[in-house]
Amino acid sequence: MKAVERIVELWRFREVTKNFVSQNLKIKYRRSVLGFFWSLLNPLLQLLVISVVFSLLFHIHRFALYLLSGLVPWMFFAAAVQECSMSIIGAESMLRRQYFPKLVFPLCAVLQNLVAFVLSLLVLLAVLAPFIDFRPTWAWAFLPVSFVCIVAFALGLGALAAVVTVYFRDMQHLIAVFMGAWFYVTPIIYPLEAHPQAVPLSPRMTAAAPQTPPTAAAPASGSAAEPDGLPIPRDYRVYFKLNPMYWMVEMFHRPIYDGVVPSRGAIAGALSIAVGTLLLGLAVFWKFEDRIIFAL
Amino acid sequence: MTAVNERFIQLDDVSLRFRIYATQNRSIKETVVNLLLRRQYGKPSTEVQALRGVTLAVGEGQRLGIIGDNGAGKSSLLKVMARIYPPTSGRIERRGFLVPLLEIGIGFNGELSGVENIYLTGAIMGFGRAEMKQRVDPILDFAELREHADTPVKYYSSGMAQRLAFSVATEIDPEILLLDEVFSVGDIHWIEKAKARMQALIDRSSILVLVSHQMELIEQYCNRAIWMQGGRIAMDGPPPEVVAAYRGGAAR
Repeated sequence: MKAVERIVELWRFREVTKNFVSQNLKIKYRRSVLGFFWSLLNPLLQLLVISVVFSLLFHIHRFALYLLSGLVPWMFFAAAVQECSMSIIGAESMLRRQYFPKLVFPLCAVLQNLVAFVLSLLVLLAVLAPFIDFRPTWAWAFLPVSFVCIVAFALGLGALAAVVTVYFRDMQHLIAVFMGAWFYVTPIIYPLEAHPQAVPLSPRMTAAAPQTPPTAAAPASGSAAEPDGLPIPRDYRVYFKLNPMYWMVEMFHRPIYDGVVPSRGAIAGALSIAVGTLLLGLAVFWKFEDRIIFAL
Repeated sequence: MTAVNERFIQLDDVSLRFRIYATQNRSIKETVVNLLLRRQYGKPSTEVQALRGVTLAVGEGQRLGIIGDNGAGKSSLLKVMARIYPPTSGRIERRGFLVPLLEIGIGFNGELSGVENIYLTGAIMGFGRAEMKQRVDPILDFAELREHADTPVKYYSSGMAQRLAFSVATEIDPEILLLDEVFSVGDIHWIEKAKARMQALIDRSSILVLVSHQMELIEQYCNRAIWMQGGRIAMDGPPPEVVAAYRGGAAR
């Protein structure tokens, strides 16, 4: 089947997809309104712990807001990919008695998490606004593009994970371990670069810049280039940008934390990584789609 | 879908081959260890040739019964017709709204209520919420589960769950109906009711394909029968003749 036919067929299964998503959300948030608020507890607790611990190390202006604008997208991404990886084997009994375009299942995993993601981002920002010094700006109009990027990236990777997990069942554990490590190499709990458009960094940090940084955060093996008080030395920052999630998270940092639209280069980078990953993921998924049923 | 056009299923030289792994749930750990030790895969996989060059045309008004020994390819043939198994080679064409009732009763979500499961099952079979809405009441009435409509299905007895599953599956109007082993569950009163409903469902559909080990069912419901043997069609004809030949062959 050609890609176009597969997409047309997927469209014909939109009712199924809609139903799966709404039922799964219903189960997840069963106990009415409180159910959703329970799901805010996890990001809230992480926010609290990390911002208390790390603001002692970095002294970044409005650290809680910086953290939130990266952490919530990350949590969506990690949960979506992990649910995707289980989605096909979880649908085994259904796949044995009825034909489905298999992409329905990773797609549902992503969409379910997207709903929770959008809601928790909005609610957290609204509730925490007075405490973390947050005001919405016009740059928010850019956020739909940010969502498109991270959703495409998550679906591409999730589709890949779904296929691999069918053939190697222990993949789910590996993914969990890998996600844990990936989180730390992505600038979420620390900034990679100064955010110039943001309200100036705290006086303590600006003052520290010309001298040796007073905090233990800067590695002793700092580069020759003048240090700017940020935890990652300038020479190493380019390697952090090889991480695709850096580009995705930037799409949220800029509009939410800095209150500006990302640079054209950043948008082009994020979009091409997202679309490239999605195309690769779909190509692999569709190549194996018909054979999956024999491996379940 | 295509109410005016003739419904059909056509298989052209269809073969189905797949691997069964001796160890299900292969893991990366195992694969890496095997590679490091330069060991061949501990347990070999076996290849199954389920269908060998099956050519078959089922047209409007036909009630096809499939009989044969276990492992002869009956269920594989049904699953190929339902698109659950993609054929290794050959072509399949079909026209008409096809509903496979292969293993009735699985697929319910225990956390969801009876009504929510009706919508979910409907969606799986291709019906939107609006289309299912008018079917909810008849389904609940037939299943005699009205007072438990909002109870999560995990609290249903197995008989209740079966009744609900059967009622949902038989409420729809398939043009092509694929049935694997007509089942009967519950008290005598229910079996009689279920039989009548199944008969009505079969009457409504344009094409029926039925796999069964119960020869009476084949003779009762079908106007054509095929006998599968080793993945091939060994005989094709009127049910009484094919059943008689199968009985004779099986006795040999």
